[in-house]
Amino acid sequence: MHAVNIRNGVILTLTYFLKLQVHELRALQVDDVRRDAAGYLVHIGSVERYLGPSRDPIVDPVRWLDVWRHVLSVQAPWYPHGALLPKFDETRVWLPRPLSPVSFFGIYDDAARAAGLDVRSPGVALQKGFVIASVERYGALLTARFVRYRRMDSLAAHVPEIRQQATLIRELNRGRPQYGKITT
Amino acid sequence: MVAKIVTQLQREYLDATREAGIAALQPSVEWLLTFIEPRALFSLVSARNTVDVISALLKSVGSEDVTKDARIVDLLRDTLPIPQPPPLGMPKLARERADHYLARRLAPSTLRSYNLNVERWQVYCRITGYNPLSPLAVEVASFIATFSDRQSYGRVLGVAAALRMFWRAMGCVDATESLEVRNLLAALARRREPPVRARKPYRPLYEEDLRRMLVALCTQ
Repeated sequence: MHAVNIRNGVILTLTYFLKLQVHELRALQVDDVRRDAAGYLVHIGSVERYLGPSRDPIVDPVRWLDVWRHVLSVQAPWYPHGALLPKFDETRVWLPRPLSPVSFFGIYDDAARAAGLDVRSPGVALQKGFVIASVERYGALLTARFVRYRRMDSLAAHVPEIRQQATLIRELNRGRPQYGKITT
Repeated sequence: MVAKIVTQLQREYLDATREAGIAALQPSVEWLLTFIEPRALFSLVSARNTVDVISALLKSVGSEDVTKDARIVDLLRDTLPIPQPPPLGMPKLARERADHYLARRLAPSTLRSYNLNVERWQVYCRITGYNPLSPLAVEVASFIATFSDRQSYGRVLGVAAALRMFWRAMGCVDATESLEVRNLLAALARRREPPVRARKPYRPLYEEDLRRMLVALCTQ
């Protein structure tokens, strides 16, 4: 298994479990993930999020991150700091640069196609699909808090069921000063 | 020039049928003979041109081509088959150029669409018994109203444009300019709703889907 595939697996699991968006994935540095006894503490901007293990070893994000950090330390000891998800060139030699946003969508595309998933414009749909699944499971407010969508409207654009709540929050925010904004 | 003369001949023919009170698209052989004979006396070429025009007209509508009747063929026997240089007094090059431009005035797709719509109109006329070349405005409006059921406004406009082209080419009165048809089109335009974007909704992706993706990744 090539390092590219391991990195892509990390991207997919992080996208699924932390509901990260592309710009957040790009901004992740090696130092931003800290190993805990059971999982990882992940710094996303100013927020710290806990990434716990999963029962299924294949989708376990902690395992994927462990393997990836091992690969990084073995194959690129000269790469202690920098982007957690670096770029690979065409010959699969890696470059100490973060992935471009477009390549993320390419990775989602390839993964969805390889799995034979029927999704519309897989690159975008994958993230939205994860979010929708989360809304089904945890509810809209929890998901919005978790996903850190700046405005719930952008979430509501893809999940019609929560439009009412989004409208409610917009009404609550009307006339409030910026610092008191309800962001969930 | 060619089109103009053809139009003139058609108009003469249609006027004559109207005066005689017979159906222009189903003429009897006897009446056709009385129509063509004086022309043949004047000029066999002119008579032949007239017969050609009538024949094309009947063919385009789909009715029986009575100009192939033996008596009419006999009448025109002495005419030489019309050779390449036309009898209409037009230089060959100029005529070819005119044909070239006429053929390219409309895109092939537009022509196809026009043909289809004119065919629709002719079928409708055959069913209802209307005259496809000189219909009443109400008849055209009824056709368009029938067609517009569950059709987009653009398609309805396409039908109107095709009919306009058809009648102009045949030298008939353009019924789409009548008040009835224009009012109907305006009403249909008002009926038009903003297009709904038929987008496939995002589907939720569960852990099983993620698992499938990761398995596919591992087995690559």
